[in-house]
Amino acid sequence: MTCKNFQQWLCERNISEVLNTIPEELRRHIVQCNECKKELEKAEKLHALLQSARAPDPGDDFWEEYLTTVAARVREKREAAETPALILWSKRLLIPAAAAVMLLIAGVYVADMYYPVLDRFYYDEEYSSTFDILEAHDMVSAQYMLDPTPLYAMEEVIAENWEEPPVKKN
Amino acid sequence: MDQKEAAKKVHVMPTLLLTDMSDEELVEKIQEGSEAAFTELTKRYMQKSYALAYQMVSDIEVARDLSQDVFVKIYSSIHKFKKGSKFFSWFYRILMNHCINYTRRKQRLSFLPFSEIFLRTGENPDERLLAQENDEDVSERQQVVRTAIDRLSNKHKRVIILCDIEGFQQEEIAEILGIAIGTVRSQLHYARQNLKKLLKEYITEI
Repeated sequence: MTCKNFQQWLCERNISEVLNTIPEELRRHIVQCNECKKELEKAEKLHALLQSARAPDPGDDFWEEYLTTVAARVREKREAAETPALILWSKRLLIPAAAAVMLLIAGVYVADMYYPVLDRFYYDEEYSSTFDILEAHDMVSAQYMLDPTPLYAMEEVIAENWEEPPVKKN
Repeated sequence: MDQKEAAKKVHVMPTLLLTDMSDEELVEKIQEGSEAAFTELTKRYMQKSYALAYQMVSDIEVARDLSQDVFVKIYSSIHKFKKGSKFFSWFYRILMNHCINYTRRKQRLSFLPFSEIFLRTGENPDERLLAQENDEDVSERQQVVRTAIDRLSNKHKRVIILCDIEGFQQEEIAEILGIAIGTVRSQLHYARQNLKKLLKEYITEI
């Protein structure tokens, strides 16, 4: 029996088995070989340490309720499996879809703070001074289709300010 | 006359109790829709399930949850169990994978900022720390051993737990993990070597 044989023998067994069933020829080898003796002692100590790491008792309540909890979870799973896929998916998608819409709205408003796009949809008197008056006329004309009074006023302003383009001289 | 005799025979024949059935016979019953068979199978494996889950995750609360959760998995995939294979190896393989998946998810979560983790788990940081302190009534040595086991790679961890803590035979481990027995031995050898290094202080001290 050599050290290599001993190592192999050790590898092939559970530590608990090793301690109870050391063959006679191995025992003789261990007595003579200091290295293998140390190796066996280490294995024994490791076994003792690992045994101390066993799972702690989770408590009587846990075991008493175990079967009912498992049964309830199984029932829940089965019910989920029986629910039609369309309903299940619509339920799953409802929150993400709502969140996406909210994000989109928030995004448009934030973007509008830096680049005012939304204001273009409303008629504001202030714009008449900053925008070209003709452009403003085009923008609001759709809004005032039902009540065209402001449009007439605006057209009057356009007419008053109208300047003929200068005639080019040859 | 023959029919009467046959009826008598059926009547006299003792009905096999669920408790007397093998795991595989119970699985067949479950596949036929028997809930009592599933309860019996759960009874047989619940303690083993909790013990192994605890070894894999080192957390009582999580082990409780995973050990029950695995039975739901078993129930929902019972039709996938093949005739002729052994239930115990199928069960342990599912349990091991379930625990490894949990550990991976947990590792991914641990990369998040501190506050984010508690937002996800719905716990208050102070409450969690207090709970950890309460759990520390286990001895220091046990903690060190647990930490050492947790530091092993998943491959090494599972063979050490199955072989040296739960006491499975190496042939059984090979069957559970779906690997060759030579691979089990080699993984076990390296796992033990690593553990000896990690627990060097305690191994030389005893």
